[in-house]
Formats: sequence, structure tokens, C-alpha cells
Amino acid sequence: MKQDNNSLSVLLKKEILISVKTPAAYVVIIVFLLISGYMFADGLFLSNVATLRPFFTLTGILFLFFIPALTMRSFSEEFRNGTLEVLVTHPVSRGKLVLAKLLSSYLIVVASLVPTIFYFIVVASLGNIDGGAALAGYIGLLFLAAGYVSAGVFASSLTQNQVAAFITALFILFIFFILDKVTALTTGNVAYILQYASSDFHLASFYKGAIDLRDVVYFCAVTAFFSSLTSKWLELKFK
Amino acid sequence: MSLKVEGITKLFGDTKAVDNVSFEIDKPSVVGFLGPNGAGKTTTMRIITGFLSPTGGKVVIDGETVDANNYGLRSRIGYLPESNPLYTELEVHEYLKFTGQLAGLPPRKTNERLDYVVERCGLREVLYEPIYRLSKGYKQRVGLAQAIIHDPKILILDEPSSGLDPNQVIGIRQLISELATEKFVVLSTHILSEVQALCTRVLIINKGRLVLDATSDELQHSGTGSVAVLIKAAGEADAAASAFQDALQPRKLTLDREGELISLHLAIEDSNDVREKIFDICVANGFKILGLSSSGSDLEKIFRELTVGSDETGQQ
Repeated sequence: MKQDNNSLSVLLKKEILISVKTPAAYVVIIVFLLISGYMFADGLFLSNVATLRPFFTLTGILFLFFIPALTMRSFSEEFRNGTLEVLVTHPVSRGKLVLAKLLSSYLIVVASLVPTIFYFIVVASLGNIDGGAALAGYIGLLFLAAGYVSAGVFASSLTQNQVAAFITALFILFIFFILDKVTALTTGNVAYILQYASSDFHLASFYKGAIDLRDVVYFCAVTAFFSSLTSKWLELKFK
Repeated sequence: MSLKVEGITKLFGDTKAVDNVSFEIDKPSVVGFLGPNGAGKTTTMRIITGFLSPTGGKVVIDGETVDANNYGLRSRIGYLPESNPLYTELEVHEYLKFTGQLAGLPPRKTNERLDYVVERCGLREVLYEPIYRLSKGYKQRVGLAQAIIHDPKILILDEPSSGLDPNQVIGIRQLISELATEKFVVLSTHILSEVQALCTRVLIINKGRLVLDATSDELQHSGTGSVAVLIKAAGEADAAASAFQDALQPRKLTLDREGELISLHLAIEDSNDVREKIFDICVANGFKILGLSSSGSDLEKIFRELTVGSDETGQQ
């Protein structure tokens, strides 16, 4: 099945070509960097501690908006233009279509994080930064992004309306974000489950510099869940 | 090689978009798919290409059933969808390479095939233009190039000539005719003259049902020829009518009188040339012929007879 293996890279190449040629991705990346840069610089000298933790926390929150803005196009645009008809009538599985969408959006998120290494350099030059914690923080953000991107792509597969896709994704991500903040309203096992299902809870240990297998499993599970949901949904949609 | 459509039915909710349609193509040819808007042409084509699954029945290509998971089969099909969706941000060569490789063309063969389709579809001068900048005619040709770049054996073309100017239409028809020497081409169209110019077989679909499946030859001799005669006669119109009725035994005769002028419409049973007979009748009865025209098989008429009264705004 050599030919079929090739189809993922062909799809990915097309996604990247289109991203490079349209302003949408640039706008989102620039807005993200402007906001995170401003917030980073604003709080830099207040804490008087050489850490990237405020930046990580902030980025986790920015991702709630930033990632839906990146993923809202992915399937919605294909539906609206009818180009999905071209894709689906070519010899490529639904799984590969979803994977190409995930990877292309994910690559943009990664690309937007690369310039933030500058923040690390700034902090490192000002004080004695914990390099291990910073690395773990970045790894945490990458896992978070994978989960968020897969949820965003799923939301985009539900509608041909990009705004609706954005709002749906924001809604899903917000639920993941808010879960551990409402535990005070519950008790016992329910509180524990809510906490375990929330994204922020699993990010905390990354930010502290610890990579816990349970947290890794959590983000992988979220990613796998939304990816397979998208794939199944596409199959149902074209019955 | 064979393409078999076996009793496919498609329901959208309670609406039957396609109702038990069957046909088989077993040799390279152009099959014209005709029908009013909403008759089920596009849905049938989408089922053949595997974009939609049928509610009942199946499509079999070379003994393999088309379904969502048998996606390997799709490299044997080239498809131009009705709305001709394109990635308009991409340049023409980027788009064609993308679809060619997605269809399974190995990278080293891609350029060779690209060269061929660009030549055949007349895209040389826009090869490095982004698609959004192209005219409708060019876009349509990009869509067609996309359908044939991987050299598929089966071509499904949903209204291939829409948006083209008359010269381009002739060019595209020529291309389709040439492709049909070794490929199965199924094309849908609203333009009846296109069917007569291109197709060796005609399928007419109405309200989801196949109402005609005939070769072009059969249509030519299907006995729906007609003759229109304009005569000047002093006497009763009825007398003239009965003279024609007795001599020619037309299937249907309609008559219109305006003063001395009588125009007659005769639907005749066979494709025999009756013009000489008409002349004889007129001489024998003292009518003066002012006009005489005959047409053989008239696809437009057959189409109207089979599809008249159908809803114009149905499910596509």
C-alpha cells in the first residue's frame, strides 16, 4: 500500500500550501504573539522571579480562542466550497483526511510557539531560570495544543459556517478549561472526576517541571477521542 | 472492464431522489445522462463515484462494489462535480499535481501527465495563475483536467460544458469524444444538442426513475419524426386535413387555419421521407405549398414527452 501511505503527505502538502497562501493563519499568529508578548512584558518585572510560568498559564488561556480561530476553517471551508467532494472521491481514507487537518493546524500552533523562545531568552538573561521547568512547560503546551486542535477540527466538521465552528470549539474547550474551577460546588468522587477531566489540572504538573505519565495519557486520550469522533462523523455525514 | 449500476435507490429523508436505477456500460462510449433539474442526475453520479452511499442497490466496477471503505477503487474514476469545486488559492499546476498524486499518480509520472492534460485542456497560459483569478471557462477546464489527470478508465462528468463559450464547448466535446475511444464516459447535461453531438447512448431520468435507455441510433428511428407543412388552400380546412390523414396515416395531426393559410403538423410513425408524398397530395388537391420542413428524431420532443409535468425545483 505504498500509494496510500503517500496520500497523507500529499494532503498535508496541500494544507500547508493553502495556509501559506491565505492571510488567515498569519493574522491569527500575529494576534497571538502580540497579546502574549504584551502580557509577558507587562508582568515581567512585577513578580521578580525568573520563571515562564505566567506565560504558560496565559498561553493556555489564549489557546482557548487562538486554536478555534485556526481550526474553524479546516472542514467548514471544504464543506462550503464543496471541495470535500473532490477529496472524498479520491482514493484516500476518512482517517487520513482528518489526520492531515489535525497535523496542518498543529504545525501552525507549533510555528506560533517558536518565536516565544525569545521570552525564555529574555527571562534567562535576567535571572537564574529553571530550564527543566521551562522545557516541561513547553511540552505541556504542545500536549494541550494537540487536544485543543483535535476538538477544534471536530467542531469544524460539524458545520460549513466558520463562525459556528469557532463558537462550538470555544464552547467545548471552555468546558475542559472550567471543569476544575467548579469543583468547589461538588464533593467527593464527582469533584475528583471533574478535576481529572479538566485540562488545567493536567497542565499544572507540567508547569512545575514534572512530566507525569497520567497527564500525557490524558491529553493523548482527548486527542484520540476527538479525532476518531471526527472520522466517524464524516463517515455518517456522507451515508 | 465494466460499470454496473444495479437498482440503486437513494432516500433523503422521505424524498426518493433516485428510484431503482439500473444500467450497465461494458464498452468505451459516451453515455448521456439527461433529465430536468432535480431529477436525480447528480445524486446518481455521486453514488457512482462513492461520494454518497445508496440507500438500496449497488454500483459495481470490475466486479468490485463501490463503497465508502473501498477507496482504492476510486483511482479508476475521474469525476467532475457539478459545482466544479476548486481550491482557488492554489495555482493551476499546484492543484492539478495535488489531485493527480492524491489519485495515486507516482511523483515521477505526475509531470508527464500534467503536461498532457495542460495541453489537452488548453491551460498552458494560466498554469502559474492562482485559480481564483481565472474565468469560469478556464475554471471548468481545470476541473476537467483534474478529472482526467490520473488517466482513469471511467469518467463521470456532471455538466462538463457549463460556463464555456461556444468555441470552448466544441473543443471540450472533441476531447471527450477522443477520450471515449478508450474510456467509459458518463456525462450529464441540460443541452440536448450536446447529447446528439456526443453520446452513443442516452439515459433519461425523471423524478428519480430511469424513463429511457436507448442508443442514439434507436432514437433516430424511434418514430417521432415530424413534418410541418404550410399550404394555401381555398377549400375547407377539414378537407385538407382528411386528405393528409388518408394518404399519410400520421400518428397525430394538428391544424391551424388563418384565412387561406393552413399550417399542418404531422407526427409520423417512421422515418420515411414523406416530402414527395406531400407534394403529390398538394398537386392532387390543388393546394399550394408555401413551406415544408421535416425533422427526423427530435430529442427535445422525446425529452418533453418523458419528463413533462415534472417538478422544476426538486432535490438535486
